[in-house]
Amino acid sequence: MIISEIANGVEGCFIKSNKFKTSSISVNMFIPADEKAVSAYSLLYLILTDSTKDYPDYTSLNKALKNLYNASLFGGVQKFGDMRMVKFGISVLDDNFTLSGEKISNMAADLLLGAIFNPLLENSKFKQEVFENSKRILIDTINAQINEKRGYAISKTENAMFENEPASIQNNGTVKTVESLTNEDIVEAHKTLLQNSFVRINVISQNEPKAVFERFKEYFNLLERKVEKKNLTTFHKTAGEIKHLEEKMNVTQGKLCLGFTLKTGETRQEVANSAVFVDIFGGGPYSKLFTNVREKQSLCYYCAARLNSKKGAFIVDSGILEENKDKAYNGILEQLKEIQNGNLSEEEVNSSKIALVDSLGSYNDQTATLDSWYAVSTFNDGETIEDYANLIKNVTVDDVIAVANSVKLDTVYFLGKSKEENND
Amino acid sequence: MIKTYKNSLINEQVKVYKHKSGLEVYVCEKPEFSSSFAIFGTRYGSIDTKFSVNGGKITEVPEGIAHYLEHKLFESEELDAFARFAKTGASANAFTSFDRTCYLFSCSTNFEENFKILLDFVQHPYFTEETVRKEQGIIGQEIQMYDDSAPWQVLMNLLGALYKEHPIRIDIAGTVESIAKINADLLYDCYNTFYNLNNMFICVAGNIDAQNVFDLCDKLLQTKEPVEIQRFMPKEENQVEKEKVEVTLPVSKPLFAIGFKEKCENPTKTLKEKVLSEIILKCIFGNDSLLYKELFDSKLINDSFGAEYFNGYGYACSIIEGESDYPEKVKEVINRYLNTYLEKGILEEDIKRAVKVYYSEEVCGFNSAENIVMNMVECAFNKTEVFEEFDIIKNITQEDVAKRLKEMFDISNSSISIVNKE
Repeated sequence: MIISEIANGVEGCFIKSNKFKTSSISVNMFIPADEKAVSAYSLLYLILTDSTKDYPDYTSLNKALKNLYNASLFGGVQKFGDMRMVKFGISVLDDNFTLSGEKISNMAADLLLGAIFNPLLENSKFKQEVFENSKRILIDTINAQINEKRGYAISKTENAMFENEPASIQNNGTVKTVESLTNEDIVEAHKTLLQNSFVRINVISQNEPKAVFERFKEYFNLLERKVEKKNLTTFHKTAGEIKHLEEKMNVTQGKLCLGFTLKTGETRQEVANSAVFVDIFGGGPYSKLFTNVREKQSLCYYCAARLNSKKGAFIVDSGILEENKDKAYNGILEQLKEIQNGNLSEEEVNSSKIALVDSLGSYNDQTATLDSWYAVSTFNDGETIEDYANLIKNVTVDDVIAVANSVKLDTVYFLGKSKEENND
Repeated sequence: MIKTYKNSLINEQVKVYKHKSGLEVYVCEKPEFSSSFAIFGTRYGSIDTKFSVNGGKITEVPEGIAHYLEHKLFESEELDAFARFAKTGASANAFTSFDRTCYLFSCSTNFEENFKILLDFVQHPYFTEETVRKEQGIIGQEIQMYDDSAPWQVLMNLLGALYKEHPIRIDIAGTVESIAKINADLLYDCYNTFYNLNNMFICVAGNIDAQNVFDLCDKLLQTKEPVEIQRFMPKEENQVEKEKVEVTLPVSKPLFAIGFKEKCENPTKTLKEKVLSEIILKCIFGNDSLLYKELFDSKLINDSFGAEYFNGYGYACSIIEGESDYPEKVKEVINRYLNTYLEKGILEEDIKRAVKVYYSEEVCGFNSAENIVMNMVECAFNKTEVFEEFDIIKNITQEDVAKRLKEMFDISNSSISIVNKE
């Protein structure tokens, strides 16, 4: 990949690939955000991708995208430790494959530029109707989190665990903050985002994106940019006392989530060490939680751990019968104890290492994983997928045991049946 | 023996090898990829609850047994399949749907070793009463997880409303009660019937050599006497079973699924009928359509709205899903638009745009080894020609669309399923 400086705080990254039938451009903007800003950026994303100056309503914009062989706008606001990454991207069929030889990739790039820099404005504000509609959609999206209980439970656990830290703010913020936003707030958020975010633009294509980068340069150079490239995330520290939360709902299955902290450290090698630990604990089917809590104890269909390396934390989640709550809780902690006591074979560590390295090997074959990797790699000194795979290969049994011994339980969340359900 | 299908427009080719057992092996070589993806599948899913072999006695099995068998096949007398894949680093999995069961892995190293494991464990069942029993807790929790999933419930309730007899109305995993009846003998009965190579297929894509894949198949596939499977599907009336079904769950907004049931004069639809159906749904329900605009602007739907064509052996329907505070009003608007389309047809401009979208989706399928394999599975399963849809879309006419539209939508024969908010 080739990195170039496009404008002040704007990097271009060209990932040359002849594997795909499409090319894609993604603009990744990194910015600190409080709850109001998280909601504002989420709303801004919906407004900017609803319509543009050139395509003044969503029907005409969607028709234009479909006429460009189903070009798709993608992105949104994602957590990046305590910061947020606001992504605007477009993916389009390569010119070589259009049915009548139409050249569509430049048109797709124009459409993305139009969405980001030339929104549909009326009297220096977003069109009120678009603003209101986007607000409605965002509120529906936030409320709909409850529809899928597994994601809901994890989100609630993060919420409690990282209390008073920006990482606790859920995706899109809350209904209350969205409701409080005014049209002017979003105009301001648009300005702040363009002027103050650090920007990484990824292009995955067979062809040199020189002209595309030039266009972005023109737009960014018109702005008064004041940017600092810095990841403001801090590691989460346990308060000492374990937080316990329980919620009741009309559900059949209970959801148990355990939030832990661990020493993931400052170096990428330490991140790799903790990634191997979390994988052995609750990653693949060879993991301690899968082989014991699921297979031996038959307590659940899933019991898995996922790492949040930026926050120095990980969450274990499982769907269980309510009466098995204590069994599952104890089962999970017992497996942690096993690793802490060094009951871990070289073979187990190897299983995890080769699975992680094998999976990294396929990152180059998918536009989404490539894009995600190279959006954030700028904060890891340009680390490539291969660099990270080599760090994984270095991890030893002792490294994993050392990580396990740094683990502390922080938060326990349980979603159980409401009382009337229990009486049935 | 080996047939090569080429598509010069998109510069792709697929090789198909017919093994002596009757099983077909589909391979798409992608040397520019680092990874590969493989599926070993069988034409056996949750709807296959009543069958006979070679004209013999009819067997009826408990609901959810195909899925149960999928779970149990990973076990063996010695090292189970997951433990074997743990040595190679592949990511292995399996899924069961209404009409098929597929075992799969993806990897970026050790393809040959992984492929050998896949072929071996799928061909070597090992069940004991004890290991079968052990699975009940795990699958019981999988069933309960789906019980709490509102999107799954709204779909299954719709299928139950549309179909009175057809086993499509049964949940893929069965129920906690039905799986309690499953034992090792029943699993062996199902295995010996549906896992005959003659009823199976293999699809592989990625950084692999086709000839090597065919050679490995020759070496490792154990041919048994082919069996003739007869599936007994109950007779299904054309009319829907219920027009409306409602339940209440903890959701943020009511979910709805509206289904239009089609006649099934033949048990399966042709590829052309399926392609036309997809294109019609894009024209009528896409986010660039007039219907979408009216529903969205009047706040009756949000961006979760969508439509899919749902069909398989003995069932076919168009399903429109979304979230709305007023699902019945959504249905009224849909019916009004359908009446207009049935009367006046669909604009040529809209058809052309939908064809472009369809074409692009097919081409972009070649962006990933997994998608390529999934598309080859469709060909293998339905016994259609590779790349056939590319020829079909070139020749679609407005008349084809108008004719198909009338077959798809009989407004008096539809159901609505609603998951209400508590």
